[in-house]
Amino acid sequence: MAEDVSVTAVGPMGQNGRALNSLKGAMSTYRGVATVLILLLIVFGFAQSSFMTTSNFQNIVSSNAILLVIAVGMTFPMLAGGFDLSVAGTDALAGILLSKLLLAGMPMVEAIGIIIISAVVLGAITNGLLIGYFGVNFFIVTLGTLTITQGISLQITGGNDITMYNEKWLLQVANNNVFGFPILGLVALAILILGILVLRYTGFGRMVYSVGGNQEAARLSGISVARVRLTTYAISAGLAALAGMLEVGRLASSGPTTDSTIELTGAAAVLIGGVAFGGGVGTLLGTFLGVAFLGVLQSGLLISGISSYWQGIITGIVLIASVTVDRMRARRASTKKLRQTGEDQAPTVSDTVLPIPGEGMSS
Amino acid sequence: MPELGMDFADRAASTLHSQTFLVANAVSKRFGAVQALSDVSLEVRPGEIVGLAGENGSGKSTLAKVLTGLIRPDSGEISIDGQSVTFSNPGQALELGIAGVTQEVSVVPLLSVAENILLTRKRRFSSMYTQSQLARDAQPLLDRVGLTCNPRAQFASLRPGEYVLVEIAKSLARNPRLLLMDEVTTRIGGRDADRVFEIILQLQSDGVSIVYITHRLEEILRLCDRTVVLRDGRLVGEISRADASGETISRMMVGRDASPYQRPAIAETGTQRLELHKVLVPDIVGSVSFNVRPGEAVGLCGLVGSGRTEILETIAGLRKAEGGEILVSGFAVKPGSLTTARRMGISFVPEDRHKQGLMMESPIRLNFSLGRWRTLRFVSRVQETALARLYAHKFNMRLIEFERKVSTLSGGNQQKVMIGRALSSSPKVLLLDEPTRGVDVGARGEVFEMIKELLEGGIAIVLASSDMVELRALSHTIIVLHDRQVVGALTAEEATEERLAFMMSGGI
Repeated sequence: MAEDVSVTAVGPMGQNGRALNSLKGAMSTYRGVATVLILLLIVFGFAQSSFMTTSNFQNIVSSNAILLVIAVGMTFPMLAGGFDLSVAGTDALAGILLSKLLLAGMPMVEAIGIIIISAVVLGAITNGLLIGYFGVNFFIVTLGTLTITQGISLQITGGNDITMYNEKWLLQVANNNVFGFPILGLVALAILILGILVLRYTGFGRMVYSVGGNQEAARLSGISVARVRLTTYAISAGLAALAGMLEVGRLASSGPTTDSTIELTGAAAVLIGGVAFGGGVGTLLGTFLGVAFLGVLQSGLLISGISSYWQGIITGIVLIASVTVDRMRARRASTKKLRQTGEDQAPTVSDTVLPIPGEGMSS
Repeated sequence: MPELGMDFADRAASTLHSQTFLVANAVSKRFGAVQALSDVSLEVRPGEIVGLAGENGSGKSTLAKVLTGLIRPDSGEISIDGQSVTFSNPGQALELGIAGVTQEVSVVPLLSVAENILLTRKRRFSSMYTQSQLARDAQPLLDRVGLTCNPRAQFASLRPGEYVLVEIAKSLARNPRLLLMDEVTTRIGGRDADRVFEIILQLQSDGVSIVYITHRLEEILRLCDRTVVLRDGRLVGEISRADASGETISRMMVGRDASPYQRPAIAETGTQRLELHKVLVPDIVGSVSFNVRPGEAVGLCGLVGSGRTEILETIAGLRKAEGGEILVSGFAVKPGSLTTARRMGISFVPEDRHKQGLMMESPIRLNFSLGRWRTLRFVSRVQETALARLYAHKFNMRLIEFERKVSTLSGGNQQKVMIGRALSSSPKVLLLDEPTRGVDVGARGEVFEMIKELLEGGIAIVLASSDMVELRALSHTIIVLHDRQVVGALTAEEATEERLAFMMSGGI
């Protein structure tokens, strides 16, 4: 087993070399996005004196907190090998429902609770059930639920926005700072940390990775693949609803076009952060870096007076480049491995090759 | 095919010019620790049918892949019509007149038969075809293989037995002068196989050379002018039609002494660990009954598709038995429930590491602990690493970095990860499906040792395999399957390789 030897061999690098390698391995996961992020910070920091200021960072945090909540939610189905396009629809609809319920006089806490619970349940029984249990393609199902929720939003509002200037509590949560840190950012960070804890330290988190990593292996190990899938869509729907309600506070309004296309921005953040599209690989820390990258880019361009249209162009280039570099690195690693062992091409005829004695068989 | 006539003329000319069409001289290929081919030479004359025989892993398919351009040899020379040639992909091999037909069906099921047949035809992106033109072009090829279906019919509408005919027609589309056929009759029945033989003989009379790879000696005896036998990647010898007999060829193929492995004795406890009482396994004819005592290994011996995997999957709860009873230590297992079977101590190690077994892109640590997680319980990386280290140590795996992707391990170590994982739930019954498939020789011995130790520890094992050496080395009893039916049970002493081979190919 040549490659085992190559790892354990104590060459000139010895023990330190191995430790260094494993450190490199951990770093390399985020190397791409972290490098680009630091680069952006340096460039904008030097170019624009107003970039490296507390108020600008407060601004970056509060305007991207909602994207972070959405992206954390989307990371779950993506890690399990799926995808949730419907978050934008859920986000807008949750905001509209919150406005309607508050205007109808329902207390804030009850309204928020009802909406989150409904979103979780609906995410589970539409996306989750159809994708997890009936095996319908995730793209089709969530595209369908996206257009359905968007349609409902339009139907409810007649296409108009609902303004919400009277909900002092909601507006304060969404627009104030605690010790100089935006409350919205704190909420998003709390969600992020909770998500990290779930994915890293619970059995469910491991199951999400295993379903994305190899669903057949997961099934044979007694994991209910369908239930895990369902749960990931419930989580993304619940967090999308939360994001939509935070957005109501931030904008002091809700409407059918609020946060439209946030599913694509969210997916870009998750993928830039290193989650594999097929699932099984990636972390929420990566998702956080992906969101941070998009936020810093947007703010930097704005401050530099560069057209915000550039944001899309740069995001697209970075997205494709980071995934391509990953792909090439993986390919290089696999050809290197093949050169070392060639195992998978070894003469392993899967089918039987058996001698048949001539006795009674010869014609 | 307007160029057909030309081609026949060319072929006639080449027959005159040289005695041999293809010469492969001292071809070697090494995959890591495995020397798949060492100095293998082969000559093929025009219009000759050459049989290529050998056991599992003897290098037959590697040689076929070298000759069809799928694998580049490390050394050795290939010449065609006396001229040295090199090719590095199947397209170039086709250019030189070498086509391959394998048991794997490589078609686009939703396209028409005609489109599939003409798939490898040279074309430009700008070429345009109409369906009727394609059908016209494909018709002569269909006639040649005697397929009477409408060329515009969807491939998926064909009978499975006709797939191989389409594959052959497809390879004939490029007018090959040599056709390599690798186990083409494995998945088809007698009548379809007879049609394949007729086509082969017809091709021979057209001057096409055939290299015929099979494990069925009767086919070799029926078809081949000459048979070349490989063993462990080396050429053992060549036998002419006149000298060939089933006994001589199988002796050349096996050519080894009795297995050096000593089965551990079964503890005489009298109790049964696993009992199958008249279990009706889906897709298996008749019922299946056998018992396994602690420390005993029962082998399920059969060709691919004989039903051995189905039996294992039924015991594991992945398929629902349609009748009968499965007992573990005397308690009935609820049929068709993987979770119950696992809870009652049945652990299943599937055959396909890539598709069913491992999360290739995930760390070794997670692959060891897969299946031990409870939804709302916390997991500990430290504990997972400790578990992985325990089994790695137990199985003598020289791996240190449990955070590396499992795909970086060798096949043998990947297999150990899977078995280690199955053992981490302290099973009473271990089901192993092809435990040494794709594992190199050294690691194979280690997996054998591992299984032996498990038996000594009192686990009951059911082992499905097509590898007779493995079955004989490890099992106390061998149940033989043929064509989805149990055809017999032999004790280890009764089960000679020749007897097993005879029974699993349909003899009584």
